[in-house]
Amino acid sequence: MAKGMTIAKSALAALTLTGTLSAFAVTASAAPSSSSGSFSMYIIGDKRGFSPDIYTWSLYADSLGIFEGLVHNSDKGVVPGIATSWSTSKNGKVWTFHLRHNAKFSNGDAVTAQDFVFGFQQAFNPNTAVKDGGGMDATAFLPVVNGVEVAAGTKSPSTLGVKAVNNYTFQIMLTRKDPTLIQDLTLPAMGWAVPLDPKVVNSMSATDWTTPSKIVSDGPYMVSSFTPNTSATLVPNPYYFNKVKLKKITLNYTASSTGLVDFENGALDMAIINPSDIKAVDSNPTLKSELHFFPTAAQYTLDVAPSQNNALLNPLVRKALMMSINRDLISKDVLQGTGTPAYDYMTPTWLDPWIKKNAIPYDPTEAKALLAQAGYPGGKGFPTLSINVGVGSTPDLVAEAIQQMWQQNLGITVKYNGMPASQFYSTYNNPITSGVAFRQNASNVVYPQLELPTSVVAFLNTGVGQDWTAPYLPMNIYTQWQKVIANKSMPPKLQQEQAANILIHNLPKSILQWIRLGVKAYNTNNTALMKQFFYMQEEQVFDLPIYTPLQPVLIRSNVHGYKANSFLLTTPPVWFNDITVS
Amino acid sequence: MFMYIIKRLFYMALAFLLVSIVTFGLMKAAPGTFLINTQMLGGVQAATDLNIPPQLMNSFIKEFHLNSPWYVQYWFYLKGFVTLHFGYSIEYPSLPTMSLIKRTFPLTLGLAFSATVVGTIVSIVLGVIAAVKEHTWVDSTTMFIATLGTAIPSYVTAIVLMLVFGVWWRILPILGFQGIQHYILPVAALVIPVVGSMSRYMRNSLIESLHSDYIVSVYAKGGGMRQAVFGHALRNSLLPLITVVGPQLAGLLMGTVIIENLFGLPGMGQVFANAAQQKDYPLIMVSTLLYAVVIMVMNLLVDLTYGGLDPRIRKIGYVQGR
Repeated sequence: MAKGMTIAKSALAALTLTGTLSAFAVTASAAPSSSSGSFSMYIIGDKRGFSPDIYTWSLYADSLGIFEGLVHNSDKGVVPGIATSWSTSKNGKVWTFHLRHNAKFSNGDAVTAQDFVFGFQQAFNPNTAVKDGGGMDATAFLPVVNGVEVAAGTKSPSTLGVKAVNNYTFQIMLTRKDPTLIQDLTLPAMGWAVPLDPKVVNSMSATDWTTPSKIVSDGPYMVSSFTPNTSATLVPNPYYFNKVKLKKITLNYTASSTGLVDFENGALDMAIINPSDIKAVDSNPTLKSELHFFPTAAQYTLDVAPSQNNALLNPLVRKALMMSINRDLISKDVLQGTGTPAYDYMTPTWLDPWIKKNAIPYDPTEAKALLAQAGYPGGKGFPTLSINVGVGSTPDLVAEAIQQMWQQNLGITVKYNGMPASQFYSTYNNPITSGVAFRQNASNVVYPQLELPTSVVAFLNTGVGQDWTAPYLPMNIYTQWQKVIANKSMPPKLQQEQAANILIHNLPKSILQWIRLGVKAYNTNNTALMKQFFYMQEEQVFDLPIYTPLQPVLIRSNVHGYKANSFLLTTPPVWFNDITVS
Repeated sequence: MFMYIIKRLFYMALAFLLVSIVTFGLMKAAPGTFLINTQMLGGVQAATDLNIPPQLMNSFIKEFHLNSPWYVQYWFYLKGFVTLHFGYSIEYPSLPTMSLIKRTFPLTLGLAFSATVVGTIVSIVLGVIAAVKEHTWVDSTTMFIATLGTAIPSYVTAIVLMLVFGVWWRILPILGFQGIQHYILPVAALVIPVVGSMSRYMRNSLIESLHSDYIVSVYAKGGGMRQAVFGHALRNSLLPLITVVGPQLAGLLMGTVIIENLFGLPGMGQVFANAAQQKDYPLIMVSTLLYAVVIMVMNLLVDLTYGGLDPRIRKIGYVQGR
């Protein structure tokens, strides 16, 4: 969120799992003695090709073993990649990485420190995104010297704080001490940059990233075929420094709706199934043993929508509403086990179990009392409350369940307002003209340290910061703020300053105190303060976290070494080369 | 005949203009933006901001005239299509749209044509059997099955076929396209509903012919059923069937959108559906107009064939310019 978080509302996307998530490992059998077998899996994909420097769904496949950076994830946590060791300076601002001498690209060229310098410069350079025709890789999570300026186009990529000390020693200069740098380097689309062969990349056109013969990568696998939106095939990089375990990996992009039959047919060894298929799977003992539920980085949350009516700005009301939602029931019954209760927008329990400590409990009696205390005894006088959600072909059952819970527990009138996703997102910030409303939001969870605000102004200019705070403005001020952020003719820096100033001078004190606490936690790297920041958000009920989706995934029993990457929505394996097939 | 063709081409041009205006209007009126990528996954609505940098946004605005008045944008799309300068699209910025069409459209056309050919042949066979065995259990059974085929949507048929041939018997592939065997189930899923309606046409048409006076003459001259059906009635009965082949092909072309998605086929239908979902304006216009042109051309060809086969149409319809 802070540090230039660029994934906006409902960003359910990326990231790679590091650390100790052995709970999500499926099996851990020994690798076969030679490269063999093939593995076919579903993964979200798109059409822009495999450029590691633009923000695409394909970037995730890049990060799982087509490209390899300094470090990468594995079934054992973060492990050395092209770097074999690293050290930091006394002030923690200079990181020196020693690279392996036997790493090679798929064209046989050696991977050197200069390739890392080039790769980092490409990732931060906005012209790369223009050339490759996609959004920018959000490497701004890394506090590299001049990173923000290079990404903004105000400084040359050559000024970026990266250096090749010699062919096999690479340095990163940071603007501040960053104790989580190593794990951050494994986060695709957030803090990830890989070596690139300048000789190859400088002569590539955007089209070439969709042409397998033109793509040169340094991971264990290389792309051998690619059909946009349909499938890609990966084969071993013949120059990889280590053994490549599988002969072929097929990435299928189009099997999300027919996952179960594709799995049963043998077309997929890993498939995501629809929640409605779980009963069928449970009735088949073999399939049941192959079904896994992997948590994701998404958090289904309800945010306060801007409105003329300020009923939801009262913390007592929000707490009453939170207390009258039975999250356990939603997870078990409504979602049929494909969800687990969430207690904060940014901190899912699978990653940050401590967040549950201060959870607001389900207590309809206390909820009624709180609502009465807020001036609405028995729900009388409370404005009509809408739940705005973006839906696909089926209604949002969770929103419908919440609607019923609020009506039954609090006696208020609640409207379910499902609309097509495109309409929902395009009207997301429009003020509510009648009654009050919550709007569905979903986070893109990363490590909690990365969620902290770096400064009040920076936070108030992130998409997430704006979503949370702006609805707490008086409506006339909200309109004024909207005009400023919609003014395309204003210089970006001035626009950001003006927008932040409006918020700083008009937001409730509790929100500003909360942001300042987060900034303090960020500046001091203090874990206790960081937790306090998230607890405060939970206690003040700035939003209503509901559940973390659990992705129902079938994995063939002869597939070993599959540890799910819960930072990615489709929960692929953390590293392709961990996988073997017996 | 020349005048007839000219007149038809004129109507086609009018229809093309109308389709382009309606498509453009609906496309621009629909809420949403190409800047947010949305996708439903395992029950979760995924959406990501594409994080387009200002420099790239400016190039999009310039290339696709996004800040220009609506008529400038419309003219840009229309002119591009008519002159075959499709350029690039927002979703496929690194792949020329013409290359994309060349890569995907043959598969879709192949799917629709195969389904049309197979569907027509099967319909003729079933229609003949039902007509010859009129009012017997054979007729009733054949038509009941045909009605069932019409009533069940192709995506349901597809799932059933996938289950039977892909999961239970495991004799056919159900995902991707790596050879002709990957065509079998998608074509079958498209054919079954088509056969339902076309075989009824065939049956009714043949029964009408078999009850005609000239068939009575055939019997009077000592001819049998075989001679009456295959020697005389069948040829005349095929004419009404041909009139429905054009619209059926149009329906099949649109039907490929769902079928391609279900079977993971890299065809134009999938591109078309994605373009609409992602608000890829240039691609929506190109793909819609392409479908429209193909369907109109197919209808024209069917009508010309009909005229060629039926001397009454040739002599009356063309002379009167109808």
